[in-house]
Amino acid sequence: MNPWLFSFLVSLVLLVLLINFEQIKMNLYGGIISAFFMQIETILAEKLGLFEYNLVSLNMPDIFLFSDTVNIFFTGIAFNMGILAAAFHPRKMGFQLIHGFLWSLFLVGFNVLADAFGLVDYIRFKPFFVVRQFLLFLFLAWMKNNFDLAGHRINSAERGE
Amino acid sequence: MLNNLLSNKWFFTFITGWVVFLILVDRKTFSKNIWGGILSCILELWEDSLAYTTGMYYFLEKGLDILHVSAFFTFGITFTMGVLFVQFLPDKPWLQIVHMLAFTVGFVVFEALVKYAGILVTPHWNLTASFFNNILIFCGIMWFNDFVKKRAEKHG
Repeated sequence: MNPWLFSFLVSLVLLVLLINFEQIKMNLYGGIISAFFMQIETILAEKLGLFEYNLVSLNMPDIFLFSDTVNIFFTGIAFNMGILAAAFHPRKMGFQLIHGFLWSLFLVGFNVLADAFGLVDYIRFKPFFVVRQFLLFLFLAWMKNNFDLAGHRINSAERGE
Repeated sequence: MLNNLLSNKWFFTFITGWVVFLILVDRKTFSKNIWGGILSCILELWEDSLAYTTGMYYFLEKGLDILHVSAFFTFGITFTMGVLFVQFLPDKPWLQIVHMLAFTVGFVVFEALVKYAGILVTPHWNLTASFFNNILIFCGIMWFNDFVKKRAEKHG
């Protein structure tokens, strides 16, 4: 099986098991923003020679959506995980910081595993370069705090302050 | 030595940043907004020093060196604009996004200028990457701004 398809399916199973389907609509923004930045990063990394994905087209039809630059599986993993990250962001801001940090650690683990299994070659990049993603997780929390994504704007009392 | 300093282009950006800062800064709220400058410096040093070690981009004619980055840049434009970003951040979320995009574009224009001046070399980096990178940095600072404000309210 294509390893990127496998990773995507794992992320989809996690999403299906963990998400509250009644609230998926209000957490879609996390998936869309994460997928957008993942796609941008993939295109830029390819263009700038930062890292290269391997085994992308293994057992896949030779079409644009399964290429090194636009791959629905890379983007799909980010989409699924982005929805989960948004859904599980706590309301208290101190916990949001810890939550973002834990997701960044999870991402480091994913990058290390991808490297260990030869799915990616880090040319000018390291698996622990996740500060950008940490800031992205904080931005998802900022969206949740400031926009009407939970049906109403979260006030200080709800954040436990 | 003084001639070297005065002809250093990073030093010129340092002076420019501080002149703009001294004109625009609100001295009454400076102590509440200084964290924006400090956080910007930390994020900038982290990103730029890693970029140097991986060969994405590097500084030339640094003047004063700190972790392979020009200290004139870190404690000039980065610090001053970090404080001003927080100081002028509006209350309304949509306006915060507009404000963030304005600063992002400003930093990309600054990067284009220093590239043109030949003091920043970007063999594996470009302005598009910088644009999206800056968006995430300023978005993160927007969250920290809420965090600092809430803590200040809580502690009176």
